[in-house]
Amino acid sequence: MRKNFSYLFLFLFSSTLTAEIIPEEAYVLGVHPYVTAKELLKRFTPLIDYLTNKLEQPVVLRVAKDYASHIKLVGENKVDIAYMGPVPYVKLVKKYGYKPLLAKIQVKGKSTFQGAIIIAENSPIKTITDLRGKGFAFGSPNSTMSHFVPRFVLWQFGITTSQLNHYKFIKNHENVVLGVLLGEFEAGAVKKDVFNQYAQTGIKILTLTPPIAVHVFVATQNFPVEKLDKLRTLFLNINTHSQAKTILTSIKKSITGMAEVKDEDYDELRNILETVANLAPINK
Amino acid sequence: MSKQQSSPQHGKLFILFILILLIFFVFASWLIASQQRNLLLNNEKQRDNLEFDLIGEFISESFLKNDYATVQQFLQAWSKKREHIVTLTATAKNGFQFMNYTSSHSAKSTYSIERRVSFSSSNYLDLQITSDLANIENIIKELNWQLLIIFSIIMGLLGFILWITLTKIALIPLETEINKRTEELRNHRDHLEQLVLERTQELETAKEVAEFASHAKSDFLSNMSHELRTPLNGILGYAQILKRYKDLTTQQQEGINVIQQSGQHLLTLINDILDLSKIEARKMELYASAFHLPNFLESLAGIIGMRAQEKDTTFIYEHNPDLPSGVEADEKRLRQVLINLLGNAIKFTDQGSVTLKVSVLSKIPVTPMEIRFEVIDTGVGMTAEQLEKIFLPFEQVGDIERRSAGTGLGLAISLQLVELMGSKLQVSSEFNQGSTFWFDLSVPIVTAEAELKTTKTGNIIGYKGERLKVLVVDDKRENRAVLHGMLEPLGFEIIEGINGKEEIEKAQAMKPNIILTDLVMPVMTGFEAVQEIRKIPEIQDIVIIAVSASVFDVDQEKCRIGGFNNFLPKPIEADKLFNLIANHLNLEWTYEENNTIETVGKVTGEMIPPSPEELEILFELAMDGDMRGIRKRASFMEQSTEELIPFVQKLQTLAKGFKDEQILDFITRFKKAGE
Repeated sequence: MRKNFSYLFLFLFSSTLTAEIIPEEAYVLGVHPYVTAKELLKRFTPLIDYLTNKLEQPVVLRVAKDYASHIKLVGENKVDIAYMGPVPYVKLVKKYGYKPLLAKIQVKGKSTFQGAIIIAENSPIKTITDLRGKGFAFGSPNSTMSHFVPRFVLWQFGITTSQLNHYKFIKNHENVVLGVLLGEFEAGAVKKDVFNQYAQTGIKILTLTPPIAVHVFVATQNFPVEKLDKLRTLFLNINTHSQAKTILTSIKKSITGMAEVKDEDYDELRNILETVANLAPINK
Repeated sequence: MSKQQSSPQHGKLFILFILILLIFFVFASWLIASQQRNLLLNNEKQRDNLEFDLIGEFISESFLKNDYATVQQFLQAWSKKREHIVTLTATAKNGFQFMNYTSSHSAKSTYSIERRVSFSSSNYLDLQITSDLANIENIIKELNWQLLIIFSIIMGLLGFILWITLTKIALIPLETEINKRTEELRNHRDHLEQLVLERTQELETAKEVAEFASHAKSDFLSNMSHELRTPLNGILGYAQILKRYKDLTTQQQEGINVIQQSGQHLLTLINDILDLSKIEARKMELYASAFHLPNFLESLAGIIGMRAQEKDTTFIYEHNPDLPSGVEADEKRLRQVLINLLGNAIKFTDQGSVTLKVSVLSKIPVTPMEIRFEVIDTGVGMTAEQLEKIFLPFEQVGDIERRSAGTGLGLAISLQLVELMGSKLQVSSEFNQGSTFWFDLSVPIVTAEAELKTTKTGNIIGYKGERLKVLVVDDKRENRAVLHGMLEPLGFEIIEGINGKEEIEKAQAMKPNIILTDLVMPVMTGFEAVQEIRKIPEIQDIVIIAVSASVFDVDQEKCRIGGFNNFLPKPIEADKLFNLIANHLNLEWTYEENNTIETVGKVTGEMIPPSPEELEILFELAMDGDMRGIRKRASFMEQSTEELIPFVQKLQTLAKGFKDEQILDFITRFKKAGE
């Protein structure tokens, strides 16, 4: 069986492939390329095996070229099932309307995650407002926790990017932490998980961001309606499946389970994104 | 000497040199090693700095992009790849330790380099890399090994060169010394050789001189002997002639006897001295001829028997019946030896006996046959001391009385002669018990006719048959006179010649029946004359007998092959002369009727004793020990009755020796026979 899927994957892997090559009876699981395609296949194989087994129909993986095309594939129902980050989900709904929700993941028992604004341990900064006139480090401009949410937080405290001495998008959370530690930036924005990794190196949290809903599994209109409930049940049932841990941690180490999901869970994020979008354009 | 001293000095010098080299090497090694270390360290640092330059560039660039994580990952990976890096730290201006890498392995010795990388106007990163020196140490170790090997090779080479140089340089004086010594030795040797050569030449000259002297001596002796023989020929010849005269008184006869005996003694002396000088000059040669051994021994026994009888000593001749008849040996010399030994035995034996024992040693009759000749006496014997001396020339043992009777050369000559015959004269003696002399001869057996003849002695008065002519040739008148005196009374017609030329002429003219010729004569020698005569048909068959005083056996040999019929030595023995003539001319002698005595057989020949009355008178005189009375009486008897002469002569001999007891025995024997 597994061999079979591996064979299918090879076709899926190439972005040049058309849907026609994919067997008609198979369901397609679309993922965004947050790691390499190979790594993704490895991570999602237990879930695919599980779904194939339960649906009694093959499930194949389709890795999108980038985040934007992933949204487009899902929006245009080019895949049957999709795994999406919270920001892409919000963008998807905004552009293509609602999609049937299946389940959201739980990380360490929670279905939300937080970001943190960090400063050097010996920093004289006491409050967020103290950040005015200081240097600030963001991660990726598309990053939820190292850009959108913290920028919203800064906005809440009345600090715009223009009020900062300087700010910079420096690719990722690690660079943000190191930039603050090296003294290049007085403060920076990172996921709380990342902060925890560097907790003992000389940084501290100035403030935490509000909790934001995590990744979600959605179906598309391409997926048979009569089987949606069954599919949703299958996702939620992973929690009780004997192979639950393998299936979940394989996707991401910190995933502990699947939870029921509603579109409202993403309203907070939708609001933040709307707000940030209306702010002065950022200098990337 | 210098070599023995120089060797340890060389050794010390060599060790010192090696020591200096070693110290130099250690110092050089230390210098090189530290220099190497510095060089390598600088090289390493330079390399690290170069790398730092690149890293710094990278860091600056990445930091400019705020890509800190990449730098962190890079430094981690970079450090890990470089095994020599023990620690790597990167510290920011604010003291943040951006990187703190520590290798899993520790290092004993390290070195550090530092670099400050500025990545913004006010911020920088201080990089410090601590590297392990083990790498360099290993390289140095490796290099040192190579250095050691190179040094060893250089040391070896240097040592070798030094050793050669040192020995060569040091040996130069030594070699010079050796060469000098060698030269000296060579000179010395050359000198020695020269000396030896000179000495050899001297010796050769001396030898030549000695040989010349020896030769001269031999010649002198030969000449002397020849010269002595001529007068002796006269003396002995006339003694023999005179003895034949019948009208001589006993005193006259005794005088003649003395002359003859003295002459004989003198002749013996001359012969002995001549023989010895021949032996000494190694000129003595043996001339082997075939002869009849039993006859030879019989005749010898006859001669010795007569001598023994004179001394009243019993002579016993024991011989083996297996003795071969014909043998080949030098008859003359064998006779000389045996007569000498037997003569001595009789001389030293007053009572008892002298035995000649001839036995065959070989078990089976083979040729050559081993024959032992023994002369055993019961005489005075010799002490061990005397035994040692007897074979030395001119040595005489025994009492003075006996010594005077010889030259002391006999045994020395006999010893040499026996040795020449290939044997050894041996002796065993016991003082007062007697002596035994013996030698073993290996003689070839040949066939030899026995000359059976009954030699009658006694006075020859003539011969049967017609008158014969005898040509006597001699340059010396006295010699001719002797032969004349001996032969004319027997009825021969004597013709005389004084040289070879006359010999031929007279032989042709007179046609003699026999020629008696001297060999060495002026005008023409006897040899030449005989050669001529043998060529002249009408006289070539004449019997020619050489009569010579020549002492050379070779002359006698020459005569034998030179056409002579025989050889008669001078001084002439009348009996020999008569025998030769009789043999060659087939003569039969006529003897004086009453005086014929058988000499073969018992030595006690028949003596006609005087009348019993005369015997009684002699017995009385003997009992009284009146030797003079006996001699007077004997003289009277001799003149009154001729047939009593043998008896009287014996009596006279005993009386002269004052042998009263023997006289008594002698007289008693005839007295008893008469009764």
